Amino acid sequence: MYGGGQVFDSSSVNNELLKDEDPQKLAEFEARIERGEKIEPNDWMPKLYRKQLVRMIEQHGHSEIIGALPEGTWITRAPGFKRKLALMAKVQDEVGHAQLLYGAAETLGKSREQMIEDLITGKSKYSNIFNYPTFTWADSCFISWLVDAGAIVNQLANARGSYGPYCRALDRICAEESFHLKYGHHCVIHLATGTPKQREMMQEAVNRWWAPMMHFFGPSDKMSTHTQILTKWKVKMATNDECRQQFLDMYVPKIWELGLTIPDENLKKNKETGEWEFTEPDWEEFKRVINGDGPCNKERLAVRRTAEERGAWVRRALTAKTKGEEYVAPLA
Amino acid sequence: MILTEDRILEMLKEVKDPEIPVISLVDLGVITGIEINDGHVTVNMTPTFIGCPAMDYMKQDVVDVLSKNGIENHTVNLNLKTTWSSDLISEAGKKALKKFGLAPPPVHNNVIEDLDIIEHAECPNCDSINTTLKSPFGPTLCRSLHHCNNCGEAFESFKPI
Ligand SMILES: [Fe+2]
Ligand SMILES: [Fe+2]
Ligand SMILES: [Fe+2]
Repeated sequence: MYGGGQVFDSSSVNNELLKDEDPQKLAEFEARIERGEKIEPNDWMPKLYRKQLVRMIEQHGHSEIIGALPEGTWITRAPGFKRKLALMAKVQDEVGHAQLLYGAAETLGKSREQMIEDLITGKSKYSNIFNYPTFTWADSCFISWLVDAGAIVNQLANARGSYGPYCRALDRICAEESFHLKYGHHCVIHLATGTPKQREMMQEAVNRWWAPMMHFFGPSDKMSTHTQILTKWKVKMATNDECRQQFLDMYVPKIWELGLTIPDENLKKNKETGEWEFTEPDWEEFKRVINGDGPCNKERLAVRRTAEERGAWVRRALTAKTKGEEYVAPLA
Repeated sequence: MILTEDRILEMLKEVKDPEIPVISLVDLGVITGIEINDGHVTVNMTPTFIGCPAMDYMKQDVVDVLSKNGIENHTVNLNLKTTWSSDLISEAGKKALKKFGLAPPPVHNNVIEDLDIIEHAECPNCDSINTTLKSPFGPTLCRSLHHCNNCGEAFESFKPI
């Protein structure tokens, strides 16, 4: 899972960084991207490219790791053994994605420790949607199906980008996300076609999560200044609005098909333009939550911080040099 | 058309691992037996680990492929009598894994002498063996995470189990 919007806070694109780049190297770099070549860790790259990629991949990693929390709390309460097994595996996948992504970001020179430090001090962001609570099992089902669906839209776009290690990690991640989507869809179908109480529970979850879901893809393109250079360098592969439209086009019919309603009376597809029309999401709320004042921001970071502190002795023990005793990685 | 084991295996190559879509259940070694008796087809499947949450999905996919090929008279069994081993992955399967960025597991013939075996993985991107283990666990228990000191790739490896 992952949300693309906040990653491209365009104020972070500091073109000043470009000034002292060697023009010839820059031209060669751009020509390679133009030809569709991938940039690899040992290749020359502009400082701005490196900086933006680290930021993007790192925030993607944080979103995976924080995204595991709202669903993770439902493992012990999952309805039945099969759901429990599947959810456990899904949550483990998400944490694994974070590991893969931290690994990909490390290839650009930022250490994992620094990334985790920046997450728990609030310096780096993660997807806004995980700052909302999962009150019921249906909330967890909504995430597994639709938040993962949104993530796939974003990730499939990014997988066509220019940085080799990130693209290759995304190919593998997307394969797993598709399975999450299938699992989530089954969970939602089960509730939406169940007893009146189950249907009501699912509908309430859709009502609660619709606004955060619309926020998920980030502010409207009208509101953000151009990030042309990132498009040219194939760092940003699709705009927020393109991703949102694609998501609506693929999933609104599937939600309606299940007899569920979406809490936006203006939501409809314009037959002439082929575009979806909807009530403009509340971007003030989005900003407020991103800046730390959402229902669960403090809780999410506190959980991560506690995990970090409680695990500190293990990391110390692993790296400590004991005489004659070397650490052997466990097989399973 | 006469039903043979080979023909059914060929059909089942269409069923891919739900999380690694480049490898079929046949190449992964999850299809552990096919019996044909008077036109009745029995397919035995052994999950890579017990309690695999994807088993029901895979079973359904197998049923769908059999039906699609006109084999209505079938049974798909979960076979827990034998355990799956990474040695069951075919050569073609290993190649596909490598291409997907997953270092394939070394053959172990059920004897794992060096516990540090997972510390040595070959980079699927540049074939270098100058790699470092980053984490003994990845998205699933059966994979570990590595860094290639040669090309810089962050990659996963399928553990020998
Ligand atoms: Fe994920
Ligand atoms: Fe996922
Ligand atoms: Fe390599």
